[in-house]
Amino acid sequence: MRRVGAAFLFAVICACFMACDDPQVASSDAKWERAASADGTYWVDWRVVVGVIPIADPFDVEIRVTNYKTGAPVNVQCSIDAEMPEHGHGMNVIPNMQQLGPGHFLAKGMLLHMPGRWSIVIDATDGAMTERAQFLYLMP
Amino acid sequence: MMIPSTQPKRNSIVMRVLLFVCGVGIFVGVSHITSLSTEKDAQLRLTKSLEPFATRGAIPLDRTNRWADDPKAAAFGSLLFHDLRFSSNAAVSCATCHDPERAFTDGVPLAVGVGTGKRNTPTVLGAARQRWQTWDGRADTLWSQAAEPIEAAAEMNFDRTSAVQLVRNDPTLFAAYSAAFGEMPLGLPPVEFTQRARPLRLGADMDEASIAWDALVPSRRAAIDEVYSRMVKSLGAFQRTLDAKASRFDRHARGDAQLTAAELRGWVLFHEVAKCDQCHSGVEFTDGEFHNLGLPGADGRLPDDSGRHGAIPKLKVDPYSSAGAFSDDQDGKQATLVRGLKSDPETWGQMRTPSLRNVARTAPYMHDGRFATLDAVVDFYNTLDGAVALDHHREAVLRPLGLTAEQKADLVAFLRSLDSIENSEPD
Amino acid sequence: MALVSILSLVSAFLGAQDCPAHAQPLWQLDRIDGAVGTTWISADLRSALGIEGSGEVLLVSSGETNTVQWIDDKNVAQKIERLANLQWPIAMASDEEALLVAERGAGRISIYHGSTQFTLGEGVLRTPSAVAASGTLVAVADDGLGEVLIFDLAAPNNAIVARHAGTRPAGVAFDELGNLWWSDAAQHRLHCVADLGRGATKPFGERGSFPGQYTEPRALFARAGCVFVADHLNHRIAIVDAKSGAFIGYWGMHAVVPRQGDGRIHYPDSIALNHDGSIAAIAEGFEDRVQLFTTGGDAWVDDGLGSGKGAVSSHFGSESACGGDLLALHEPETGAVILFDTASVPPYNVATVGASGASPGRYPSVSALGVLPGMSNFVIADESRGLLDIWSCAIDRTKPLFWDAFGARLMRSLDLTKFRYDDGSKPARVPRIVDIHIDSAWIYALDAANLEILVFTNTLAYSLRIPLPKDAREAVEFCRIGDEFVIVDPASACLWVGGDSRNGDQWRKVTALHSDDGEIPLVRPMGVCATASGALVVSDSARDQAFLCALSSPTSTTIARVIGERGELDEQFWLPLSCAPLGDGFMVVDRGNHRFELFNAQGEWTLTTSLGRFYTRKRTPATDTTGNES
Repeated sequence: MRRVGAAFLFAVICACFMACDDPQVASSDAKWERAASADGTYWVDWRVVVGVIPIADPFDVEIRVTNYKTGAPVNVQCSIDAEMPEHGHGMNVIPNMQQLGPGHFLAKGMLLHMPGRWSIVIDATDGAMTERAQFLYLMP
Repeated sequence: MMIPSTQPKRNSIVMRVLLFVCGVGIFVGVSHITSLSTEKDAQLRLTKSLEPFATRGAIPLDRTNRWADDPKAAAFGSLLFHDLRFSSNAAVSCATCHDPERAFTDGVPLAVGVGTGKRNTPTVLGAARQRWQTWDGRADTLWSQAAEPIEAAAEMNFDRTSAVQLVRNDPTLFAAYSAAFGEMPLGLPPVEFTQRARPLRLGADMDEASIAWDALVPSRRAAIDEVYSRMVKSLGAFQRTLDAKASRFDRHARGDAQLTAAELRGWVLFHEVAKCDQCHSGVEFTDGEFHNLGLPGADGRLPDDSGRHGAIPKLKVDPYSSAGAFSDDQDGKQATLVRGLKSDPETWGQMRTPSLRNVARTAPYMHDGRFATLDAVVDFYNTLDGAVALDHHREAVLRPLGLTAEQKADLVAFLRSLDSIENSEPD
Repeated sequence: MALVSILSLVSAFLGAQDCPAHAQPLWQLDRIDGAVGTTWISADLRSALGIEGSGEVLLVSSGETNTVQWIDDKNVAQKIERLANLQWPIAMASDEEALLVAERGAGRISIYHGSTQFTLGEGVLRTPSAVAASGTLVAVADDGLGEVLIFDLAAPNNAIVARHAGTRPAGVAFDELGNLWWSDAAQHRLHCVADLGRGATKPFGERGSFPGQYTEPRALFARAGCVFVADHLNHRIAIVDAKSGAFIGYWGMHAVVPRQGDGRIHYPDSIALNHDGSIAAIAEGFEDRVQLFTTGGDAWVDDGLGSGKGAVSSHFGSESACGGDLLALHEPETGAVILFDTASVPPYNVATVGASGASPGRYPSVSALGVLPGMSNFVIADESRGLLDIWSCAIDRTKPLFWDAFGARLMRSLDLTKFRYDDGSKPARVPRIVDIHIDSAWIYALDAANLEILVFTNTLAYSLRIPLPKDAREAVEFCRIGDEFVIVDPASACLWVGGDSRNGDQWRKVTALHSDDGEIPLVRPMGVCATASGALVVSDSARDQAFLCALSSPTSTTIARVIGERGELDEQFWLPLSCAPLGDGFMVVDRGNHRFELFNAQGEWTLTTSLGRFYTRKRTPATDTTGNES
């Protein structure tokens, strides 16, 4: 009887896991930005976790990388960076990347410290190959 | 309007003249409207640019220090700040260089404590609003910054063990400590213990004090560190009370005061023409990060102060940083930033962008106090004369400004308007 | 404790108490073509080498004339006859008894000991770049192998007793504290290895121009607890404390105009101090000269001659690529790739990558460039990080051209440190891509580490590899004409011309070009390209010439036109390196004059340009004050 109970409990727990999606980042009213990666292998979507990107204040970014044709999440490694090509510098920090699920990431500790035109770049890496998606952001 | 070619010549001349007059009239009218519109645009831009200053917020919370806003800790911190005994010659306190009568600076190019330092003393006013402390940002919280000068040879040349013993043995200090923190932790050395002992700093040579520290049993070191961390957190709490309060510029933005025409012109120059706010941005007039202006070394030699580059490795191993063992928020935003700091060759020589609040009171200027006046600072930015490119330096933010003498004067007038109305110590 | 104290005192005594943080210019000797190696020899060794006179003398090796010379007391360079038949003597070292010469062209070290002479490393070394000796140990930096090897002359067969892997080892030195120091020019750092190169390693330095940073450190010299570094792209000598690795100082006052001299250093290749450390000799192969300094004294005060009119704004390196309307050049000092629109006259700089443009600091050591014809895509290889990157650079011709910081975008990147062949096996060494050729279907990458051509699709998917000939020792540039590749091998002073085959035997070796006046042997070929019509262009940096060959199938090496001569005016070269097809004609990077020159399909000069200046009316010695200037 005890074994049956344990098995039932185990099954319930498994069912819960199977039914659950990736953990959701705290709900945000920030809209998703989307771009295709350079050679069109992936869709890359990102949004700020809370509100808008603040100037000179750390913020977090949620990222999803999916297959361009099917829209399914892809098993890639991901990194995000930002640079100001006109100034010739990038961020002073490397954000901490947490993987929330296949193709689902949280980048903690981004910092855009100056006003002006930033290029936010997200790299999706599969083995030795990396493709980049690029977004222009104007920090007021 | 088409003039038919069959019109008589006389009429065509009249029409042409009329057209010309109309055209001129339209042109003048449009110009006037355009000029009015340009003026109005400028006014709108000016009003908009001032808006953030009208709603400048309070000092942000410091979650890394659980006593950050505790008045008893601040009171203890105030005692420590002014006490000369926390130095090897009993003649230097924090207030020696951070003189309350001088906007918490000292008015000299290089700080003079027990010895002479390599850098200019920054103000404490408003430091609680900064992310990084000191010119090279080697401390990432207000309280952890205090840990180093107490032990630095050229500053107070003291040691944490002696500092803890002093608190234990002085009734006033002990009472203030107890009021804030309760009992001392177990494991401290006997009250009679008088040996100087402190950890070896990164890159320093071993000396008597560091050898003595290593000789202490770990539990004793842990207890001393715990008390020391509370002492510096108290200093942090006290310094949080030293805000850079609203200046006349802020009050103008709120509508409570009126800047002069020169000051307003200076603000427009700062914001739109010279674009000083690329780096001196936001309501605190700083992006909080680091730049290399290309200032040459002392006496025209090549620069020799590694700035941010030398500070980053220290930060990453500092137990008093926001990510360190004594932080009360080891997984918070600041800790995440510290862990992610990029160790980049380009950071060599970079210094923190200071806030410009109260800048008129904190001469001399730059990390080594080389410029005696604000005019000298503006002159440097105006021409970039003497700036050392040290070949192939990549960041390209600065350009010579080419301002006239009047414009430079207006810019300085604006900078003077950033003076706080009050900047004296609280009771 | 006492022993520790005594040892500390001893090492402090041997330490950096007298390391000269500054030096004052003494004199310079011009016209030593290809001066790359320097060493001082004692009176005894001088006598053993058959050089008359007494006292210490300076030896200089020339990579272009394949000679070693000594400087007499009238400051004239005279050849040492005994040191004959050297093949590209790139570096030297000496002690009281022996002179060691690294022969890059022969893949060996020649050792002159008293009246005897013998060689070391034949069959093992590929392209040695530096040599040093301590007792019976000989350290050799070999940039072709990517290794530093320690031979022991006291061991059977001069066995190798230690090896250290790097990317592009360029300098070695033993210090008096028992360490081996070696420099990695691609990783921009020094390594200190204990126990004379057989113990633990500590790295020092990083890429940059600030104190304690290096940009392509090359030769090293150690004396009295100090290590001197020929910091090639920082144009100075850096001094390091041998005990701690701490930076002490640097001297050299970067030359900003080619040929400047007078204490201003330009691309130092080697440094050697004399017996008492009072004089330092620095060879600058770029300038074909040696400069001597007296060590010590105060920092040199800038006299204002280092900037302003005449100062060079573009330091083009040895990489170039062109396709369609896009030309890509490289600036080694900044690590920048500069993109030009070639439809404009002169070519207009439309974007920059890696320095002031996008992705600052991404490319510590650009080693190859390629342009995908007709696609506005270009390829960058970096040997330091092991990257092969595809970028796009779209030029909007509906508007006036302007330099756009956002004009170039990284598309795709291949991490060569993780690269595998199609069978899953790893290459013997991380590929070091030194040139890229692209046609409509494929990207061909010339791998100098494994001496093969890697073939990729235009999305960097690996397809196959083509081994180079077994006798090839170095590969710096290549092109494709029809079905054949033409590869430049300067160490072998030859071209390899071969079919598109996986069989390494299908290559033929070309050591001379043919002309009506006879054969012109190749001395130091460095650049090759194919024009749009399929004619071969070869540049030879020792001859200061380029050669346009006749059209023919198979690839012709018969000269149709000899181009250039040594000089600084138009249709002259001072160190011609890379070339690339441009329109119907071609361009040659004239590195020694910090510019590039364009030629039409017949090999006639049409334009000389660097950033900000160009000439379309040829300047000659009689007319060099005229010409069009932008």
